[in-house]
Amino acid sequence: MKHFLDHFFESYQNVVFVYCCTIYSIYALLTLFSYLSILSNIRRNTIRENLLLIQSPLSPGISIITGAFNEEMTIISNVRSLLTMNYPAFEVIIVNDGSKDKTLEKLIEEFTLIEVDFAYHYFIQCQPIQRIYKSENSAFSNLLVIDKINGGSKADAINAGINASSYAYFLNTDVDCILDKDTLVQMIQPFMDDEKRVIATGATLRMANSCIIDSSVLVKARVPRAILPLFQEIEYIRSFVLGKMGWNLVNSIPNVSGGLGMFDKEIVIKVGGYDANSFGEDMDMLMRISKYMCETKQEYAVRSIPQSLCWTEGPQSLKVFKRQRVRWGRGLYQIFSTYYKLIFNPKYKKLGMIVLPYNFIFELCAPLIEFLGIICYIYLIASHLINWPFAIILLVFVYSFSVFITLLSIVWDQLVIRRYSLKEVLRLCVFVFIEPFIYHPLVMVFALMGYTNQFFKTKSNWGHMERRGFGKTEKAEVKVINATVI
Amino acid sequence: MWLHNANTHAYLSVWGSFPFFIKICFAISVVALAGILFAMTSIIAKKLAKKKEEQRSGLITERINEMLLSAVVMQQREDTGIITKKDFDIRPLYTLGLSAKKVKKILVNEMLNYRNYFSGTIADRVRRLYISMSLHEEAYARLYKGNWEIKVNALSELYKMGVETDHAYLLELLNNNDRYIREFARLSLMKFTKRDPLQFLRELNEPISQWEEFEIFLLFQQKNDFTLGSLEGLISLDKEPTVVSLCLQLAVYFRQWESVPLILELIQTPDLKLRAEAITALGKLEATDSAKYLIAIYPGQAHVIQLKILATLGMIRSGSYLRFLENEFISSQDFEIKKYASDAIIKLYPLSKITIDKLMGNAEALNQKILNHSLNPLLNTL
Repeated sequence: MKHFLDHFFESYQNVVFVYCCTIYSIYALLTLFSYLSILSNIRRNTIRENLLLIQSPLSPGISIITGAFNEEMTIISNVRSLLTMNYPAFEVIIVNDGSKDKTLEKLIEEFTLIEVDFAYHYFIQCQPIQRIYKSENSAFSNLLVIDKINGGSKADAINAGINASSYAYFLNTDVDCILDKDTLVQMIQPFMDDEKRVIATGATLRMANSCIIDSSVLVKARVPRAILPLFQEIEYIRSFVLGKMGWNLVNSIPNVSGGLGMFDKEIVIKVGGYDANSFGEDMDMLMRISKYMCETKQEYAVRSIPQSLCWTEGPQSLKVFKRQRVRWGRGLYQIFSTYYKLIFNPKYKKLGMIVLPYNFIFELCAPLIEFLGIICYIYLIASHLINWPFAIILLVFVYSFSVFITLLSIVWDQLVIRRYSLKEVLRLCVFVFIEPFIYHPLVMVFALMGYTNQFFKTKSNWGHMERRGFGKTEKAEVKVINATVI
Repeated sequence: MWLHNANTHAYLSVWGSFPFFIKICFAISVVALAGILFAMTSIIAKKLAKKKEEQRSGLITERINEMLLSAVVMQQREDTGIITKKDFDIRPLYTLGLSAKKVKKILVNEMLNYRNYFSGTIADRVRRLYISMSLHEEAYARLYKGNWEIKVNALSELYKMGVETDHAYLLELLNNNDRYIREFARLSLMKFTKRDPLQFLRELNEPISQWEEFEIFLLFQQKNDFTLGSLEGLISLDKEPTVVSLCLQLAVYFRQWESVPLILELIQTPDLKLRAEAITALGKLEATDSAKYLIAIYPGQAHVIQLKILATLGMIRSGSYLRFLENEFISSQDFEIKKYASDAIIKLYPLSKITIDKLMGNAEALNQKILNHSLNPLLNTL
């Protein structure tokens, strides 16, 4: 047995080494791709003036759709903020997903809503609609509130909103997200300017935890003070600025975040909307629309822009963070149990040959390979089979390379974001060095828990993150920082 | 010395004993560590430089704005007197820490902002100031440089400033490999051609982006020194669909009723998107005579086209086909057909008053709901 284990773990070392070198080569390539992609975006923005979209009578309308479940603390200021977007033609659709608090009552009172006889049609499935409201005040004429039975997922709420939307494009966001005023003009741009038919666009998300926010408007962007959101911010920068912008260059973006994504409604309806049973409904949606485009032999593009347009409150407690990551892990596992037949299927072009294989090998399998690698390491140490000088060189290699790549993503990010002071950026940089020791192992363990839960079909729900709301002053902001997120 | 050599020798022999992959990893680690150092230094250096530059450019922008305000906005005289370089001396700004090139760039950006937000006399004064300061000559010089980015920025600057560029060179740029250069060359040619600005669309065989469509549309909206010629040959089955789409918008905007026969012919296109746009254009032009034809082709059309026909009948407002709409509303089993028919009927009010009353009296639950929706002003504000 010992002989077998010795042999197995010694061979496994080689597997991990090859795996690691491959993924690092891909990261190096993505770093280059993302740089080119960001430069191209910056150049395009010097030529393309957003003012044109605001002036033009031809600008397409956009529906902002967001679900609200027990959001009474923040709903009013968030909706007000959404209503002040800088765009000529848009509507805001709030789907009250069976809130048990006073979310709906507050909306009715604040926006003088009255129930309307809306001819609602279930183009895509969702839980039954109870009532639909419009404002009597013409200042809020572009606000529509849908009250529906709780569907247990954000996907169900968004589906309900899509059914009632009037425009050809919709923006899917979370009601607690703080959006930049130019979100719509920036995100519709790829749809208008690309040579291919763009079916979805995403942008960079950031953590709002320590930002100064007044009435749901970002006054000052700051790097989170709490440790978990700070690590999450680093992870987001790496994922959005380096990962997604890199994949953008080769039109192989795997996911448009559920926090902020703009979609072509026609295609979304054709694929039956979001899957309410999915734990990773955002990635699932992108898979479905991409699959549909391949099957109907239509050229398409999914785009990402490097601008930070959305600030979201990240989990501050380990309990909530764990719940979020276990759910994401389940979602990823679910995606591959649904779309495994597409992997290496040339019919699905880049989706089948790049997006899914990469995400299967280097996203889904990564925590498994890593976990087994740690066991292997411990075994080799215990068996005195380890060559310490080599082990140390390899550890330094892995560590220095990952820190270097993350730091480069921050450098790239600085090309587009000007909101952070030098002190804030340096704070981010310092935590990059600690991230591999604290944050990364947590992410790996929670992802594995997600896979296990999904494998054994453990019953689970989305959970809800109670929010304290964003304060106006520094004092109120401290409250947010110290809030216990349940 | 001997000891040093012995150590070096020992290190080299240890290094030599390492397997190749370890050597590679070691080398990559060294590169990565150097990269970390470089990244950190670069962040600090760039951030500090940026801060300094932003402070300086902020101050210069403020000064330039003050100068522009007094020279072009506060200027009371309505004459066409030229503001000379002497009147608008930016040389003192060169001492504020930024190079002359950067100061000029700030000035041009501010001028472009003024042209974006002001029209009429003020926009014209800005243009004249731009020319009198010979900034257009600098843009011309950049236009002939090899770098596409410099070229396209120069083209865009001249275009937005309303300064004419060498016609022959622009024609040459129409064949450039870069789509942005081709686009701005086209826009410039259309902007400065008085007789038939559409000729460049006639010669165009490549698709245009929706963004360019918006640019061209805005250009024609703001252009007051021309008359839109015939759209014959442009609204055509043989033409690039994106160009046809733009021309349909132009036909509607300029109320070109003589284009209606061309649009009717276009309905035969197999491109559903274009066919839908053509039908909508008929509606927006309120082409009453086309209603009969639209109803005749209605049964054989795709669902999306049927919806467009119903919407168009509502826009045409002749009321002659109220019976058809009523029939579609009652007999169709499709929700969207009912909804579009209902919206069209409501749009035909007061012609459809009797029909609405009749339908409201007899309608089953779903039809009643749809009619109520169409009738509710709160739901039809977008």
